[in-house]
Amino acid sequence: MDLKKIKPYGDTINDGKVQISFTLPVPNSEKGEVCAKELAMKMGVYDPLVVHRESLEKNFSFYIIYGSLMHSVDFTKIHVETVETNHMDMKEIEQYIEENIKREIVVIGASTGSDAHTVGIDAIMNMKGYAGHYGLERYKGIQAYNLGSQVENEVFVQKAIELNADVLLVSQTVTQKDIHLQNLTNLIELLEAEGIRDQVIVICGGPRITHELAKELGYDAGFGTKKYAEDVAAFFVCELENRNLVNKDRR
Amino acid sequence: MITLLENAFIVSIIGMAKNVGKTTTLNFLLKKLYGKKKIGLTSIGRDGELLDVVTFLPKPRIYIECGTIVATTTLCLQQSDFTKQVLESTGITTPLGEVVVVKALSDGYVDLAGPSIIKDMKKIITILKRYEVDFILIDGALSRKGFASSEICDHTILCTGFSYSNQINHILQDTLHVVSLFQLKIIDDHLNDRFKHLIKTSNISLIYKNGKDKQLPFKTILNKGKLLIHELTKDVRYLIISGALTDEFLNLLLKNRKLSSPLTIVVKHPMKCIYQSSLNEVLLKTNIDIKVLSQTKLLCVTINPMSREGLMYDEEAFIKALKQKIDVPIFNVMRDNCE
Repeated sequence: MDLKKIKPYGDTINDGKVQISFTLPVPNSEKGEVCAKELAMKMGVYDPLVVHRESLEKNFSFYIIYGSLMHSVDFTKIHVETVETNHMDMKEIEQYIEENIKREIVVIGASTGSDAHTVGIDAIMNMKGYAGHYGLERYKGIQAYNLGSQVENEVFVQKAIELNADVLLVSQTVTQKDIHLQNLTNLIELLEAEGIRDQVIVICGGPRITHELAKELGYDAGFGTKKYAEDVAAFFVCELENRNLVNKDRR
Repeated sequence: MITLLENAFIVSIIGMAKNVGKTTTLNFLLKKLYGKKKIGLTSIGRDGELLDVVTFLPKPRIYIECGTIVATTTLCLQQSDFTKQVLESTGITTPLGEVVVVKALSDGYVDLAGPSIIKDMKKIITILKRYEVDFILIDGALSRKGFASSEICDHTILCTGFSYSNQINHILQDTLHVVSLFQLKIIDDHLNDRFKHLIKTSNISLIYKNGKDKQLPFKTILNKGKLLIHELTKDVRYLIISGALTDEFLNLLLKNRKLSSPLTIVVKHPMKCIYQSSLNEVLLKTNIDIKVLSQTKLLCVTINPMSREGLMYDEEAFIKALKQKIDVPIFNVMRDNCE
């Protein structure tokens, strides 16, 4: 197998087989089918076959296309930035806090803006955790406040000031029209205007969040999917030390 | 555009959104200034990488000339191809590694990512000054504008364009709003020291008509508007806020305040104003005005008439509408001869 030319796998290595589905704003018809095929070819799919089409309502139709992707990617040249932390489990993090931080860490978390999804923040914060990984509420040495969903940035920052929080966790699940970028940026602007950005660790998480995007947004770290409470906690306990925030003024 | 820069020392480039031409503007300035000035360069976000971190679309790269002093992170340096001499490491960490200050010993492309936090940016500027640069340029990220405050820079350039919204009126209204923030009046000289002192010692304070002041025990006005409104009797002349001035508070104020006597809200600098453009017109009709202790000069507005999807809009109409309302030079850096 040539790692320099990686393509999707269907029946044989690098045959490039993909399945695509989408909706077109036209009635379900032969013309619609040809349009769907042409779009697939423009995407780089040759031999496109419309295996299914149906009417969604009078002027909308849905298509499933099967075909072969002509593009390939050089796997050896891929470079991904991830949050580099020493891997620690819950017990090790609790011990780290006891030995190095020597006080309780205040963590607040929320889904901000119009985002009504709590699944991300709950997975990280709730006592029962997610997929066998306990949430921050269970950790000794961490005071965790989960503010829930649809929390306005103003309220979130006010809580951070009131509780003298060390760590702010923001989850963004809804990403249509880049609404998550707007929300996340506004939070940073507000923290800066309130003059507390340098006194807190701000972390964002969600399906479209990467570590590089976190930098662009002005966050200290970004966590995507498949990350659990201990990944987040291992990062912020070390970062509190790096940034000299362990003995910050208790305002 | 270059002639506008004559009196500038530290210039920030801010944008209304992604893909409005911040880096293109930066590249334009760099190209014109090379050979004339010793430049210090950094970014609050990340710039010069091959592909955008959100859309994966190609981005403009940043080309620097030998002698430029750059503050970027260790990981970004690995992706840059100019020959460098490391001057110092700063101890400032970002998700992309520690920020280091280097001198370019050859021309080449740079992957630029400086500090994310404004306080850290101040440190970087101090360091850049130490290497005797004549001119410092700070590139922005997304719609972040906080670093355009006078605490960081003396001049700023605002980039706007059709990536911000697909409704021209929306872009226009919000762009004008940001421009108006840079036109907020500075408080009179003879009062400035008194306000500076109050803002330093208290998060929220009042000055009454009779000249007496009162420092309120609130840490912030966020979510505390109702308590503050009670304090704002008709005898209050100035309300001084050290933190953010937000929609939530202004809306409450507009709803509850009797319009009998004028009130001036004083904030440190325009970037403390985090309210929506819609409030601007409402405020104009009241006798509430907003003043600042210090201001950043807005050099010009640049526009990118191309949306992210590659659609072109009616640029002429947009520029005309902008020009009717603001008295700041407007450029299309993609096309204009911006000399």
